[in-house]
Amino acid sequence: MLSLSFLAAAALAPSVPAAGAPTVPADAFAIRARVVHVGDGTSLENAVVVVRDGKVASVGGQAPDGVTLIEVDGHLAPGFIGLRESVGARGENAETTRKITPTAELVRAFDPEHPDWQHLVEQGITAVAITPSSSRIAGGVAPLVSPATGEVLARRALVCLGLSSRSLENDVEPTSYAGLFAHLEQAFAEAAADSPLALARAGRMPVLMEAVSNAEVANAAYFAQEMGLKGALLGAPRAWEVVDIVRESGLAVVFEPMAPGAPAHVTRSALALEKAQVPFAFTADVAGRGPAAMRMTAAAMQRAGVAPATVLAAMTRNAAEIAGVAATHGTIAAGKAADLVVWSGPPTDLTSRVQHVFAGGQHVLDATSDAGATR
Amino acid sequence: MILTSLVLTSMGALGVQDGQPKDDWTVHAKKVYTSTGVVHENAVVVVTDGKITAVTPGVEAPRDALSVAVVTAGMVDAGARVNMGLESVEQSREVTPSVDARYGVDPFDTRWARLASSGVTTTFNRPLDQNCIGGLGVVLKTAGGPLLHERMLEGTPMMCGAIGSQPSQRNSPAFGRPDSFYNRRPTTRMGVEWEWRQAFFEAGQAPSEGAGAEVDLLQDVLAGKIGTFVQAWTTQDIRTAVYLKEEMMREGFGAMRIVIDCGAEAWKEPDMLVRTETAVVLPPFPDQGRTGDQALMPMDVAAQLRDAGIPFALSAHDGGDAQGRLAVQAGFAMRGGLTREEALRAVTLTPAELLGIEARVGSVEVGKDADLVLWNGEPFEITSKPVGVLVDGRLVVDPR
Repeated sequence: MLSLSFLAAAALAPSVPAAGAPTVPADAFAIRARVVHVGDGTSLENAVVVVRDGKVASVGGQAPDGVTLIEVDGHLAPGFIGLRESVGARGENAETTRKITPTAELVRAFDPEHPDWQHLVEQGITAVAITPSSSRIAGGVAPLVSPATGEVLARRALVCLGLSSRSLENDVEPTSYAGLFAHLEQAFAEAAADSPLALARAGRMPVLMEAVSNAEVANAAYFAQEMGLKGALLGAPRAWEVVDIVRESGLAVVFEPMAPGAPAHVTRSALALEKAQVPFAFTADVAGRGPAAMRMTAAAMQRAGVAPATVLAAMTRNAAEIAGVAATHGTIAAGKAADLVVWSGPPTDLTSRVQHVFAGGQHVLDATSDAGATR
Repeated sequence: MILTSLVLTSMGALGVQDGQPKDDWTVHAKKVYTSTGVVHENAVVVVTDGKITAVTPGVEAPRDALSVAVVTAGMVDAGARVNMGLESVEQSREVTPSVDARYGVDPFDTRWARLASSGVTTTFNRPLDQNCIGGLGVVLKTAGGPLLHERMLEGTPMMCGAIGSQPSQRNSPAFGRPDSFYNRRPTTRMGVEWEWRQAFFEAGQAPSEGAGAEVDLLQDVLAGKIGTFVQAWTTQDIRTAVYLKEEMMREGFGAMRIVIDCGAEAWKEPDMLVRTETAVVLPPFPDQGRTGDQALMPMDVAAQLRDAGIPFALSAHDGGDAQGRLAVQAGFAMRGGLTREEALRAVTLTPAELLGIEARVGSVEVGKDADLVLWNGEPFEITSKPVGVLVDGRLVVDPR
């Protein structure tokens, strides 16, 4: 496991810690921020968040006596969650000889010591799903991991399905949509009890279904309905054209990062989904698009008219719900993991900078000191 | 099976009433070509609930009728090929009879709307021609409801494949260690023939039950329950298809029902087609010189097939440009010697019969789907064009 140093809280902020408490738990502290973005669409002014044992103990109350209070002149928000990442998998996320390996566990490809994880932490991303390569049809089960602590937050979070032409590209059967669905239907039919596909079919494990063109989106939506799958579509850049189909499927949408100057389909789709009340989230894709891609996409959506609270929810609460970890992640709430990021301004504002990152209550990044990252 | 959703032609505000597209119309034309050999003058075609419910000649246009010069049945392109290219065909094997072209068509393809507005209302779509036996084709209207099955027509199932140079294009021998499934037969026309014969010999010799879904399908092909839609441009490839049928008959495996697709050179040896009751779908006329697979297709090919008594349909393939459209192909065929009504039949009723959907589409008759093309003049003239199109009684192109 990683060795993480925990900075003395007093060194972080100008405030004087509350004195005189006889029994201060070593891992308890409180943060007072100018604004606390809860992640559920609400925010609190000048509020205190108390952290104990790696979890949020309270939000909006007072700091208990004896607990170190860190005062920050910034915005506190839940850590961002990216729903596709492979940067730490070292290319081990695709079993290239076969396209259907639904029981493969991507957690085995997770290298917690990979140096590139730091790029995600610096962008305020505190959880990512490690997913199989897009070239697989049922490439396995994605875990949710913490790039900051190396912790596996959920070993079997998402059943990943590739229903797009990306899964038909190389010379491995199948190469056609007909073959893809024939194989996938067979895999679901033959899935052993309590295996990932069986759990997905029972609605007990969420799926992440990659689908890009509208035909693929429609096929994925109907496949999900036929199989009783819950979860999200991944891709769907032109979802605005098929928003009824998406809504009726009950699936959320996970958008891939927009390239700078890309056509406006993704932003238009985000607006349409917001209006239709279909939740959406983002992929991290640091490996392919660089660490800031998720925030850049969120900013482009706001420029197109999507509410800041909607894009913040996309990067926090919605992503947690899609990954099935809403009980423990995604918002700042008592009992949830203390994955917290202090921003210099609103977290969805492109000019805001990350100042501090806490992951599981551990202070893993201090961008305000010369020491920089503590990891 | 999953049915892809289809939301394609922008119906826009065309006759939408109470949120439902209107499918009741009265259409008046100076001439109604029915495709059955009957031409009505000054006729009214009544459309109710998407079906043709009356055809009455010799009347004036009612005040609220859609009034045009000529009405024909919606055109049927048996070789429309609106597929998704390589992803419509399962490349990992050469014989994939269970592949269903429903998965290989993109309902959001912009070609659908273009086909509909050019007067093509029904299409036959097949997996791409890269496999010897590629799979089952699908008949689709070019416009209609939001779901694929709402636009699908159940006709004679058609097993689609190719003879000629296409199936072997991607294959190659392994130089050293095999590194791809493309290191396989066929790499020549001889290999293509071998694949076809092997598949059918194995199916013919297999037990009638329990040999697997793919063998079951091929056995139905041998029994003629499923038609065989074979791409064969040249004489040698047409011979291969016909000889295969005759060989299977000699073996006692059954009588295949063969439709030669892209039969550009069918005119050269018509006797073998007559002998084996084989129909032909012609490819688009070439701009000049030879067409696909270096086949020679003269301007009078359709007239020659007519004279030989071979059923034939015209096709525009994907209709990608104005010159390639089906109405223009019919015009070329008229220039090659067909009468207007013969050319019309070759783009309506004959392809409908080849596909087994003539009870639904292909002619202007009471009881059939209200798939109508409204023309501003005599069909297939260079100065004529479809000014209105109805598909299942819904106005896709408004003539008003």
